[in-house]
Amino acid sequence: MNVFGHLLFQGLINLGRNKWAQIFTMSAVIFVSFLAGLFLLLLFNFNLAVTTTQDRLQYQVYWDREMPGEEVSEQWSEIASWEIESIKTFTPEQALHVLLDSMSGDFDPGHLAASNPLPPTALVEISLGTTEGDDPAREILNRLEQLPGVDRVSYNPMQMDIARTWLKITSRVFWPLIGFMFAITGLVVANTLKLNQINRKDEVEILSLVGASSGYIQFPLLITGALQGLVGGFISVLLLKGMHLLVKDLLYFPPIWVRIEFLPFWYIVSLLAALTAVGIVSSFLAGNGEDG
Amino acid sequence: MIRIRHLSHSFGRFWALKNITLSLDKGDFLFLTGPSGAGKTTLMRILHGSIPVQRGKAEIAGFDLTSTSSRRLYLLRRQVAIVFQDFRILPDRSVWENVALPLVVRGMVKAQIQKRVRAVLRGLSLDKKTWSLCREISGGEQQRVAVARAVVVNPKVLLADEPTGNLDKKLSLQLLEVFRQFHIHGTTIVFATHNEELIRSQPKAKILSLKEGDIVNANWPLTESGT
Ligand SMILES: Nc1ncnc2c1ncn2[C@@H]1O[C@H](COP(=O)(O)OP(=O)(O)OP(=O)(O)O)[C@@H](O)[C@H]1O
Ligand SMILES: [Mg+2]
Repeated sequence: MNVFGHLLFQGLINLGRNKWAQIFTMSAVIFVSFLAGLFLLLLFNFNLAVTTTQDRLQYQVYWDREMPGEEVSEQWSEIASWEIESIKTFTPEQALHVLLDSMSGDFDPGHLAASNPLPPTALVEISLGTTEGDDPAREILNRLEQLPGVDRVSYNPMQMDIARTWLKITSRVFWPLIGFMFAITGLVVANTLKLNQINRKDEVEILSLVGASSGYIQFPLLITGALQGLVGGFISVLLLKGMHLLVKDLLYFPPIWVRIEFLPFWYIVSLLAALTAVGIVSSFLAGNGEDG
Repeated sequence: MIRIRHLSHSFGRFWALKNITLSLDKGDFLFLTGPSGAGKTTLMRILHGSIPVQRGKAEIAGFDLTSTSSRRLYLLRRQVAIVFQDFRILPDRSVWENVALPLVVRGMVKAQIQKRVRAVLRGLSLDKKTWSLCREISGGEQQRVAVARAVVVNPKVLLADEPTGNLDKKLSLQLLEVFRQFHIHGTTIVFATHNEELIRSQPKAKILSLKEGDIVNANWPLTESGT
């Protein structure tokens, strides 16, 4: 016989019983997970803004003027394969061109072009957020300095410090905050769902008294809990999306130009998964709370 | 079928059962009597696995109550049915749903459930209330629903805690008749009651009187029968 189907059906039927209790529970779950989502959205955007604007570091690399051009360009393509954000390269001719462009028009470049004093250079940009290792900035710097033919590498030490500090702050604050928020949401939702099921404690107890196995009793409860978590989470994500549509261009004006991004897909999935898991766990606990 | 050795039970510092020893064979019919607070309900609840054995030993229907885990308790409860003094039925469900519940949780097929429930409801004169909600029927009717739910599974042991408390004389005798039918077919019955008349109507039954947790009287030798 299709016991599984029957139990699934029971789980659904459970939702239909005590309609008001269900409605209150769902509203509470939706409300809390909406707040959590909002918080997550804020954090996410803050982190995004910080990492995209503050964690970049630029190294200006100068080669010896005597280095043959082919060897330099070989090194350029090697550097490009490292874990860096971007590399802009300048042959002496390109550098001169850029330099002249930036000067006023009546400067005569004739004699400079003949004996170009500029070395080959490259502007290497790295992002502290995406590279791995203990001190990626230092490591890349060392590798650059050790390339044969590299004369010197210059960078702004201030910039390095600022980037480091920002990164420290965000990594120290961002993940703990997210963890904390998940914990709070989990607790509140779990308790709400548990309370809701304890309302049905009599029923659970009677099922046990007439010889239902704990699996038989708990499976529908788990289904109910999972559904409440999932549906509540889903509705709150919809609300969140609606909210996002309203506010996403709020900061999109000069000089801020920040477009509020929606949470990436996997954030949403993990939010829903977490809520579903919370629903399951809380009904498991509620079901175990009864003593035969 | 039931074997109890030196069973004691306390609630806090109060001893509700004191060193009880007794044995019942398969097919025995026991009346459990005694004044209010004697420990009848406590004994029943221990035998049904609802409260754990604290001291001594107890076995029922082949299950050792001192060692049966709560996960496996449902197996015991499929053999041992109980009628509670306070009914424990679901008020928001119909009579039919309440009585069918133990069969549904056993995964019995629908046709079989219908046959059994119908027969039991008829036997207890509940057939006219089949689709009423349990909160809308009288106390005596609720009591009979509780009885119907216990006997519908055809248990090996039937524990009935004052099942006639809310019934008039005619219904009490009718209910006793239902129990006797099961008894004839081999069900062991423990029947707690204050009703002297009922007890006297069954001269062959065993009788055990409790008072303040002690056995004060029994009409058969308590330890000589097997298990
Ligand atoms: N959960 C409990 N906590 C504390 N004391 C309890 C509890 N259950 C029962 N008792 C006490 O244990 C004693 C025996 O109770 P029990 O319910 O077994 O009596 P009884 O023989 O069934 O009485 P009645 O005929 O009134 O139903 C009583 O004094 C009662 O107050
Ligand atoms: Mg009692």
